[in-house]
Amino acid sequence: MTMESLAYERPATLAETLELLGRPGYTLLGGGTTLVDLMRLGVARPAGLVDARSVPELGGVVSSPDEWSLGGAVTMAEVLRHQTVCRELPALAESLALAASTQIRNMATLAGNLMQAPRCVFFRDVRTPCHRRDGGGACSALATDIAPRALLVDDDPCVAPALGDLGTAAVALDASVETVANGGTERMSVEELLRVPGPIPGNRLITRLVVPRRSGFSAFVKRRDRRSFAFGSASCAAWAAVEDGVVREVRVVVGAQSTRPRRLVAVEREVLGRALTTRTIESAARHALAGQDFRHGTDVEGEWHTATVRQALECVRERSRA
Amino acid sequence: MEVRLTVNGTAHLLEVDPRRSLADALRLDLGLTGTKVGCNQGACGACTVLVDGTRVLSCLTLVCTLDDSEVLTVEGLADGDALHPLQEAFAAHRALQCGFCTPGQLMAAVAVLAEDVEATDEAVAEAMSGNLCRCGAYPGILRAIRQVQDSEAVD
Repeated sequence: MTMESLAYERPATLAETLELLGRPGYTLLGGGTTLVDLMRLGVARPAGLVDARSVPELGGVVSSPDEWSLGGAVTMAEVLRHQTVCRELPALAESLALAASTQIRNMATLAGNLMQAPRCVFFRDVRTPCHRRDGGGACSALATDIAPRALLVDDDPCVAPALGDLGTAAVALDASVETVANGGTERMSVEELLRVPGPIPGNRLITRLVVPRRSGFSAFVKRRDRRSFAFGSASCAAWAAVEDGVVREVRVVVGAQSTRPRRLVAVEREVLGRALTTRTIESAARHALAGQDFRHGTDVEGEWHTATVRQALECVRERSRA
Repeated sequence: MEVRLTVNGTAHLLEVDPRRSLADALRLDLGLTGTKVGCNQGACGACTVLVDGTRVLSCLTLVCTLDDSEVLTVEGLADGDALHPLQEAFAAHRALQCGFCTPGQLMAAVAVLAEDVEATDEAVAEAMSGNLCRCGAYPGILRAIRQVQDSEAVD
């Protein structure tokens, strides 16, 4: 690690945590599965680590009639042990279970997972220009063919794929985060949180991931080169409210072929107000690339992307019939 | 800073830099070189140990975060000369070639048994997916774990 020194603090209260995070160069430590890696690469060079995992406001899985509230410091593994959450929110459970390895899930926190750094080789190599890491300059990924680039980019400045599965599922489930700063607590949608890459504006701290408890069916599907322990090459999370066999409300979100969790409005429009038949799903899947210009991808990536959208809708259909 | 750490039943008081990983503390400060550092970035699982009963990657764990914790490494599996059932099974089923990933595989396997993973090849393979073996000894590793699972079920 290239820092000259590193301080370590373990606050017991939220107030202490916020005070420490206000110190220059101090950053939050979760499970360390991103941060320790980035410190070793010289990409992250904090002056101090704030280990807030014992702070009560950041822990626990709490239910109320309308929502689940999951602490920002809760580990992925802890959520997966919670049978009721997993039963009610299959897309959430699947997005956690299909990510990383058991060891990493035992360490990694939900907030850290949402805010995970890109895996782009150029972001991770301080010798190569990266405007996202450096706050300016060139994009080495666009200058070469080495780093995977998202298919769905729009005008996002960084073309790195959004490989965080939890973020994709959370947007499909219309989840929000509660964040705190010295001015108080705010809520923002996960979609908004992840719209622009980088740290949360105002250095706010994610305390809770809040997921609505609504009647509906969800699924998360991931395509990858290995059967396990690999980031996705395409991913899709879908949620639908189905009444009398008809889709009353739907959210279809893609991740690994996009720069951020992205709702596919054209796909949603195809299934809204209809039954999830094979024909409807096929017609919807054909809209998975609607409006995209294939700037950064090939037909193969397009096929993977479309296939995961189809599979996610098929899974939602099966669950709605069970 | 000072960290009180119990490793394989023995209490230690370590003076550590906050940047010190648990893997380096075990290997360099305590001379317990059974735990291996393969990738040093969380991708291979060779550094797997148990912390307070839970399997984690020691290369990505900062030892300063473990004050008052208990660590179990591969050196803590055998009881004197009596090997752990998984160690016996690994030897019997040729679950290793070069042996570099083996300590991490064993610690992950210990955790698989404790986590009560379903006793099927598919579930165990998935549960062990965080441990890579470049020698390709996976079939032997799987047979070894399944054998111990099945014998524990009989017991």
